[in-house]
Amino acid sequence: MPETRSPRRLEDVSHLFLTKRESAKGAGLRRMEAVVWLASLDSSANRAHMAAGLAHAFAANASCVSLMEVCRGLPNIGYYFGMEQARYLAPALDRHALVSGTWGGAIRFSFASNLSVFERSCASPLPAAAPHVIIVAFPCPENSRGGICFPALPAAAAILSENGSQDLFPDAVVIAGNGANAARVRGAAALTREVAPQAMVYFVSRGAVAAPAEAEEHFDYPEGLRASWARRTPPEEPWFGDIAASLSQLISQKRKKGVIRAANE
Amino acid sequence: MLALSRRIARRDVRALFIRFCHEVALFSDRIEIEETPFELTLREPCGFAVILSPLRELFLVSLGEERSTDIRVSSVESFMSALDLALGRYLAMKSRLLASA
Repeated sequence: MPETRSPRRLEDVSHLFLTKRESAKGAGLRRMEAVVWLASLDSSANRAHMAAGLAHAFAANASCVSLMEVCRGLPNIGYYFGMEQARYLAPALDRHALVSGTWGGAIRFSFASNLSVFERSCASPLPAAAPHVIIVAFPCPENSRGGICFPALPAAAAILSENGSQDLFPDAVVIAGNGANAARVRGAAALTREVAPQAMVYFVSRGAVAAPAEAEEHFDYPEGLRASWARRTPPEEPWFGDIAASLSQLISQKRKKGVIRAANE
Repeated sequence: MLALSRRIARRDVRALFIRFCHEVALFSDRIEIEETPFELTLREPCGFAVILSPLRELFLVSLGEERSTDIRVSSVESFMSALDLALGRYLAMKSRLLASA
């Protein structure tokens, strides 16, 4: 069922991050961090396009973003961040290639075809004081044994944390696909619940298939979204801002109510 | 695909041929592969097609059914150019299909 409420703009809710005070650990204040996983069910979602659009939407509203993509197949996020062909295509030739870069000062990104490669990641510094959104994009496996190893994701994503976490569980998981196969959608939601029981589930699709019971929000793809697939820049459609605003708002509300814990606590 | 790749004598180019097929096949879940004794066609319902023709020292990448663009692949550099062009063509065709719908 499509989202019918008028979504708040991201700038309306970003103050929730900006004003939130984290408890001090050790000598210094911890940076506010939110963690979002983006699980793509199939190529119809264009994982890299969605990930770049979401990262750009958060960064456009005073957050800094760390984006990690486990890329199996092209395009990857390097394409949308305008990398030279020799760089963005490196994982196609070398399964152990890890490619990193920055965009606009507020987004740092890295991608590789193999999850274990991210252990070598050496992230560049983030802007001081900005809230930090960590996005982990990956192709969703058909079951717990296939493809990306779900249970290994929290440890891999923790590399991007500035708060020294060992594991980084998601505040929200966005499941994206065309929804043609309801069983596949339910399987992805069940896997999410297994690995990250506290995470909110968002479902993004085109088509008539019902969102899984676990989904707290359901966004339909706008008709024209694919029009920006071929551009080598992050997509800037307002739709991404709507999702980012919704994520920011719900994460903040649920943390305040204690429904979900801060990812790095 | 493997049988067709053996027409290429150079092992490094043969590996690039197989890698190229693999990457293009992953562009979409709807890519179909058609093999003849002399070439391999990867086709998507949006109208995207890539035809690969293995030769002794290289392979030819032809974009589109009408073979409007031919790229000779015999090195990593030419492999990347061909893959970049194929990806750009695929994404552009998807976008165009949507615009005309």
